[in-house]
Amino acid sequence: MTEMEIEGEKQQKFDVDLGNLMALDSNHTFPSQPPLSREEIVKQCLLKGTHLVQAIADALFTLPSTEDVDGPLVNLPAPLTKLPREKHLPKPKPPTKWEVFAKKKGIQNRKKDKIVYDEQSGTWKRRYGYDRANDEDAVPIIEAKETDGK
Amino acid sequence: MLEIKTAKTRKGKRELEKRAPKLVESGKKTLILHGTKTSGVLNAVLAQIYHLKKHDAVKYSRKNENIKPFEAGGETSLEFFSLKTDCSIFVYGSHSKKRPDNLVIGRTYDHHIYDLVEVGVENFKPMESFSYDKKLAPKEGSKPFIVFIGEGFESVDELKHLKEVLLDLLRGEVVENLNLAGVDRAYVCAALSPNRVLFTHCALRLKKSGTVVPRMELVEVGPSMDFVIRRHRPPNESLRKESMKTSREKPKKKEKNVKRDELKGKIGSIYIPDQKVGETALPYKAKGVKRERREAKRKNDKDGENAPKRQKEDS
Repeated sequence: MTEMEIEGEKQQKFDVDLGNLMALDSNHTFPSQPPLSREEIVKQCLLKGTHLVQAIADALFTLPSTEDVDGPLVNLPAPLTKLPREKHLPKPKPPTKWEVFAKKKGIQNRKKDKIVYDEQSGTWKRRYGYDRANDEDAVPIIEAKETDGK
Repeated sequence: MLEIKTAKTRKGKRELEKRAPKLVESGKKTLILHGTKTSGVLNAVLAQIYHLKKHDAVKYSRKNENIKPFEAGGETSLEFFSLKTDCSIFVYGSHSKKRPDNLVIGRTYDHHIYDLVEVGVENFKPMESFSYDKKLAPKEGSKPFIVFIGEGFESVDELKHLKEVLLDLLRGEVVENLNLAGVDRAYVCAALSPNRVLFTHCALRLKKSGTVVPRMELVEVGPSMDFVIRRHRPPNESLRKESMKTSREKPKKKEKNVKRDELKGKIGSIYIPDQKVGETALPYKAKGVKRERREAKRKNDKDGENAPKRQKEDS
């Protein structure tokens, strides 16, 4: 009698896939000798189902959880059962006409800085705009043309 | 076809990007439709499956004449619908004398038919026929527990295939984080014989137990039916290999708010929200609110309430 009890306990190992919240019991058979009534079958199913759901819950609730506003959040592991994708893997985009040309010519894309060193004043000034660096028109003395004045 | 079409508006471009193939895929959408003839039972089955998958399912209400999934020519309509609605699983119901209450569950890969399973529905019990405490009713869109019972699911080819298809249909989105307060439904599939599977949907009741893990209780709520396996078409090997391919590289995540400076090293900014100085709570109570003052005022009122205001006496 005790041997049978131990055997019953050994069969409690179910395949639990936590990533999918799935469990499979591959050892259970429904006895077909005494043909069970529909109610009996449903009851047995629910009973076994409860065991399996309990097994998933055991694994689920023992995961490390973080407290959130609505409840404890748990980080699920990746699903074990691989299911087929619905679309193919994304193909890398074909290069544009400019990209092809630039590669052929060896053109490098260099980023321009916002602040440039101005030799004339010895400070760092903006590249363009008011008070810019290396500005040819910003001279202290401008020679007057003959048409100026009067 | 959609890849060649370019979008003219920015919204159209966003829609096309949603449907473009991605490295890590989001949940599959389900298309529910029926053929020329359906029975009452089948109509109810389709309606309830749609209800279970409200969030990511599309239900067509018209009759579709030229859909014959298992025949070579009858798949074009299905593929077209799958392309238009961006659904990669479909549930097609039909009823005939030879195959009563027939349900074909199929998947598509790149909008071409990948595999099919044909089952007959028997002993269907709709959701309304189950009586239970309404508070237990599972919320829409919650991630379900899926349970398979029976050695047939490991040994019989057709059942293995059905298990995979059911898992794909029922599991919803694959998420990284799960809120434990929101688990409230379970699907139970039991293999009663090599060609019959009992399928039922239950709500979960979590009961207090001594440990962190609550005790689970299943309460039948949803539709319950028997699937009798009729035909099935597994995917062909090359297509299966291609669809199972996963890419090693992880999707690039942009690291925000991190800048590198040559002198300071790695820097990031801390953004402090506006300090509303006028609306903060004071550390002391206002004089009139203090309890001693309120009680003193109440006592004075009680003592002096019958005495009216003293009038000035004429001298």
